[in-house]
Order: sequence, then C-alpha cells, then structure tokens
Amino acid sequence: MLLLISLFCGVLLGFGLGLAEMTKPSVVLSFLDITGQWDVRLMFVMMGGIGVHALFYHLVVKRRDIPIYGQKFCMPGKVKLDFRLIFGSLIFGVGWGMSGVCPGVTYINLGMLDIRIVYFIGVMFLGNFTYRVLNHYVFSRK
Amino acid sequence: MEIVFSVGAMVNALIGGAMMGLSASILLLFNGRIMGVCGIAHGIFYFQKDNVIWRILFILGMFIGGYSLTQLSIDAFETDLNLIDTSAPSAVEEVTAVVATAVDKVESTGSAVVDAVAGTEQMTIAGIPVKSEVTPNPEYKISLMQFLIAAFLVGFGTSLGTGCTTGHGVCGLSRLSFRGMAATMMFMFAGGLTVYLIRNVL
Repeated sequence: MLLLISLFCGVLLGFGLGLAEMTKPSVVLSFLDITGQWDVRLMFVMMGGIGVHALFYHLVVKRRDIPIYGQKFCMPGKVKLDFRLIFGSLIFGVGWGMSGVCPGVTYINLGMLDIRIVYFIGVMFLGNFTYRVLNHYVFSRK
Repeated sequence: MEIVFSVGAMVNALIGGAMMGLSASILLLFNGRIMGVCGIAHGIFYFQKDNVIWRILFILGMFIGGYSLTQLSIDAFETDLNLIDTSAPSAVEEVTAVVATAVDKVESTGSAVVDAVAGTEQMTIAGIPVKSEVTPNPEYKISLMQFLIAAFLVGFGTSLGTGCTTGHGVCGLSRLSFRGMAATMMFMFAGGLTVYLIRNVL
C-alpha cells in the first residue's frame, strides 16, 4: 500500500506540474526574469500548492501522531539555519537560473523520452555524489 | 518590463499547484514522508533497507505523469529544452523555416491591422503592459554543456542545501519552517540574479 501511494503521488505531482507548464524551462526562466517578460505562473503554482498543503498539514497531519500506513512522520529535524543550507540553496539557485530546470521537473521531462534529460539526471547525481564524498572527507573533519 | 498573464494559464497553474499540494498531503498523511523530490531521488543511492523501492516508484510515477501528458497531447513540454540545436538543419527544414517566417510576418501585419481597426487597447496592471504569452528569445538558449554544468550545480546545491523547490518551497513554506523559508528566498534570489546577469550583463 505504501508503494502504491508513492506511485500515485508521483503521477499526481508529475501531471500537475506538467499541466501548469512548469516543465518548460523558458516559462520558469521568465518567472525569474523580473525585468523582462515576467511570467507570473510559477507564483500561482506555489500559491495552489502551499494553499492545499498548508491547510491539510495544519488541520489534518498535525493532529495525528503517526501516518496511516507508516510507523512515524519523517520530519526534518533541524530548525536552525546553517551555512550549508544557505550556500547549497544559492548554488542550486544559480543552476536553476542557468537551465530553468529543477529536480522535480527533470523527472517529469523524462516523459518526453529525450536523452538529454537522462544526461541531466546523471550529472545531477554526480553532483550529489561529489557532495557525499566532500561531506565524508572534508566537511565532517574539524 | 512586461507581465505575461492569461486567465486560462493562471487557472491551469492554480489547478496544477493544487495537485502538487494534494500529492504532498497524501504522501505525508499516508506514508509519513515529505514530498521533496531531490531528497526522495538522492535517497535511492543510500541503499537503506526497505527504503528504496518507494522512492523509485515515486520517480516512476512522475515519469508516468509526464508521459501521459504527451499521450493526451497536452502542451506541457518544450521539445528543445531551451537548448541550442546543434544538429545542422537540412535543406528542407531551412526552406520551411523561411516560408514560416514569411507567413508569420504576413499574419502579424494582418493582426496589427485588425487591432488598429478594432482599436483594442493594451491591457496594463499598475501601468505595466500585459501580454498573454511568453515570446521565447532564441538568444537566451544555452548549449548542452551549460545545461550539464547547471545540472551539476543543481545536484550539488540541493544536496548541500538539503532540498529544492518542492521540499523547501512547497512543503517547507506550508509547514512555516524557517529553514524552508530561508532556502526558498536564497534560491529564488540566486536564480533571479543569475537570469538577470545572463540576460542583461554578460
């Protein structure tokens, strides 16, 4: 059941973001290009997403101790800001501004059956592995 | 500056956004998981027992969602991914392109005449002109190499910053998480600045 729900949520997310045309790099870039042709759609997508999820989170999820099928809610434990979060997000933002593609959208774009998306995903994982190697050998040393 | 706005596109964006919110809500309520795509994807290669298959299925679901959009012929994708086409155009394609530009010119002159006759006014919001569609500028296209450099930055940045647009942006802001808000502000700022520098300075 856990697995079926994962699959279903993936389909729902993929279909929704595709319908909103967030899968088109030029639409996302136009949102970021405030001084040019400013496409405000991404803001509406965020409003729709946050509206539904915020209501649901505060009215339903917060009142429960455990999820319906899992053992516990896996919530991010950290609450304080750190340099990793800030620098990581800034680096991500530069990549996002260059390509107009974020990780979520990449997997939906796979539906187009274009090999260049597979390259993108491969290099994204390379970035993740680089981080893990650095994290293991450099960042963790004090 | 111009604002791109059309009621149809905004309604689609709201519906699509709501579907994303619903997906995040269902995943959290039933499975107890935060819907952060990069967290889910990167977690695959941590090979924790009982913790891999649901991640793969979630990603597979996103692919199915995307693929079904192509099958329903919903205009959701940009076939060139905003990339420069490196393959040389054939003679036939060149001729078609020339004809297409000529037709476009005739049509745009025609519609300009119609607009002038009908006296349609330019719509504005707070004095800023509004149009219904983005006109992609071929100058803004990037090469495959730049695309892959961006991929590395995205992969590295989301790992170091522990999240991307779905995790920090949607789930984080919904939960009023301070880290989520800070991260969203950071990547929006960096993204906007990058686009500004590429398009106006470099």
